[in-house]
Amino acid sequence: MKIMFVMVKEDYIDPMNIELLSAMAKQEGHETFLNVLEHDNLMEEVGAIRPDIVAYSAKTGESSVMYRANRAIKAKYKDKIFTVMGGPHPTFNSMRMQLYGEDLKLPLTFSGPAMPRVVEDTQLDALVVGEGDEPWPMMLKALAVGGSLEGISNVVTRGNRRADGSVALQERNMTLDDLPYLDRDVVYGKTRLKEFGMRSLMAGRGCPFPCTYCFNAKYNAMYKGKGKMLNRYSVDRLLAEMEDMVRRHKTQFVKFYDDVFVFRTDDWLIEFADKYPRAIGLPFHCLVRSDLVRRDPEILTYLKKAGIKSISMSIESGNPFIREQIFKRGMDAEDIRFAFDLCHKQDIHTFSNTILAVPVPIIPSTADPDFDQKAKDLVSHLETYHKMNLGTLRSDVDLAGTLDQAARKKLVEYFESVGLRHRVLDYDIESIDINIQNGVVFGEFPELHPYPGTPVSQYTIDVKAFDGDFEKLHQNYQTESPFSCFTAQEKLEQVNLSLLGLVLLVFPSWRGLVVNHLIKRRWTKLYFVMYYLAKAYLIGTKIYPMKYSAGHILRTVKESFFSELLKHSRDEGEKFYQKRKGLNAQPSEVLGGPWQS
Amino acid sequence: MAELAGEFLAERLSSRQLLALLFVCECRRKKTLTSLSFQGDARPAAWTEFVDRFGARLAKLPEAERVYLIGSHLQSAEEIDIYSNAEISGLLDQHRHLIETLVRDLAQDPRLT
Repeated sequence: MKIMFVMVKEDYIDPMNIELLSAMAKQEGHETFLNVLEHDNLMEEVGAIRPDIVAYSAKTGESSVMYRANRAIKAKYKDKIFTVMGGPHPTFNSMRMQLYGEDLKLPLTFSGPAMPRVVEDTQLDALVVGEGDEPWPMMLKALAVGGSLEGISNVVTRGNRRADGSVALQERNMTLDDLPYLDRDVVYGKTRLKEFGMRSLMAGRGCPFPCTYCFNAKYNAMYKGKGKMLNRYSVDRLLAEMEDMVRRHKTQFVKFYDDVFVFRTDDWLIEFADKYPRAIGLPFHCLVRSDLVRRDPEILTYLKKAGIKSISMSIESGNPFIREQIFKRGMDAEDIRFAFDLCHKQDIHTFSNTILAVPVPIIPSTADPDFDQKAKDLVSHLETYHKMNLGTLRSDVDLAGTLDQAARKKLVEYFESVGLRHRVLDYDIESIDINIQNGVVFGEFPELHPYPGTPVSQYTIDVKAFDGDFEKLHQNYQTESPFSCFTAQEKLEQVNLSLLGLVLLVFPSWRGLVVNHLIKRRWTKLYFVMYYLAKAYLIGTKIYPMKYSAGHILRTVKESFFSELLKHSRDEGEKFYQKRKGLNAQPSEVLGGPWQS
Repeated sequence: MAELAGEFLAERLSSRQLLALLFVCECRRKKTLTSLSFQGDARPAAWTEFVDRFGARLAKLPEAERVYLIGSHLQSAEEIDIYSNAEISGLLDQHRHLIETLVRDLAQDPRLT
């Protein structure tokens, strides 16, 4: 069979989902192709190739773009092309994704208020939920002989959809060594990744931590009791694939994209540190957690021995209330200080993500005539929502009656001690400051955006900061916050800070100027240029350092500038469609119909 | 099987029991288990350091979140499948006396009340 994978746009990270699925399909004797909506004409290619299967792997956000593509395909080819989608979006939203020829009724029991209750008209023939390692080849085998998919676990079809929205899942794949090598050719033939010197891959799967902005907690709950959560390739199997990768593709730098690359100094890490320099010997980047480094500092010793150049350790917030009570990071400021300090001592360049614009209560002003009521409401919120034990405070302060000055002072001191602040921007400035204080080399400062099913989305709805309309979100995290709790001026300052935060890592002495003046100005376009220059400099020289010809650098700068610009536009989807309209698309041929402008 | 019915032994343990189990697993990995000694009021330095390290970050969390976080460390750093009842009960049986001692000690710690 001919299988065409469709992705929305290319990035500098390998789309390992497509590369693995393509490798598995080729192993079964099928031909694979790739269409990149960003620059390929979908319907023209579908017409020329006439694939038997069109396959998508979707995150929430890009899923709606893929639906449009799929509706166009199904409108023209109907049953002649089978279409299927896997990835995070169907994994967490399958119950509301209406399939081709299906009249879907939402089950009453599947969701809490943070789950959108609208039906998505996908026109897909099937969905794959969770890991696709086993279902995908089984599905291909069945389709090749015209067989039924309805008995295959993880696969949702019109015929096997359960009324309660649940899906039968197989056990986790605990034998990653049996997987084929990633098929990079299918992607490199159509994208600039071929010329890019950085190759990304994963040494294993799984993360057990409960960070509320991430899908892993929910994913782990789905797979509870279905096998070990953490699974890795053996060192020999990993290095064998890397040797093949380096031999076949020009490689200067390696990025291990595991959520957490290593959790402790174990036999695997010791063996990796011993063999990687001899087998591969290229500088690499990986992600770890600060608390794990503090718990087991030898992790860095072995990574350094292996040849690590740069490391990601997400801070997520400099504010303890956000870090502990909202994001559930389970690490403290001392973990962060210890781990970053150790990286500096070992000459490992650090990369951190920190989330801004988080809806958090602020401490009421003692001059506010409604201070008493606001303070009592805040105490109640901390006790009932965050389950904080405020017994000591309650024994110190009589909250029943009118609060005198001493009581007010104690309350304010208590609020400050748990990390609450007086102004909305104070939280974000604290987050920038912890990055500066810890000498973070490169940092991204996205604003919080809620996604269906994550605990933090539920939180933003519970505190009435977000109305639950996920459809209005798009993929960029550095545009205006979607939360109603912020004023227009606060939203402007958050966007500016998300751009200037990185600039401050290069020029920390500008901190006062930025925080007190620049973030208040409507000079966001200028700040974007500053952000881009700082990012290009730090990424190119410190985080993923590679050598290129002058021509390649100019081309990369041009491509990456416009890629970043597109990411930072207010409505990326709209810009994307306008660009396509102007370039090579006939209105009736692309993504199902005339462009909406 | 109990697991198939969604009955996981680890989910019936308290955060103190799980923290004690995490310490035991860490010592087992570092091969320092046999050198641990609770004589009278004396606490092993490794235990004191371990509780200090975790005590601060657990102190502000409600019980359910403590359980989840310690479970995360058991699954990652110690590679324990906490949803395997056989594995958990095996560990609890093997180190019952030490875990009970550690849990009693934790009960005196004001950070973990």
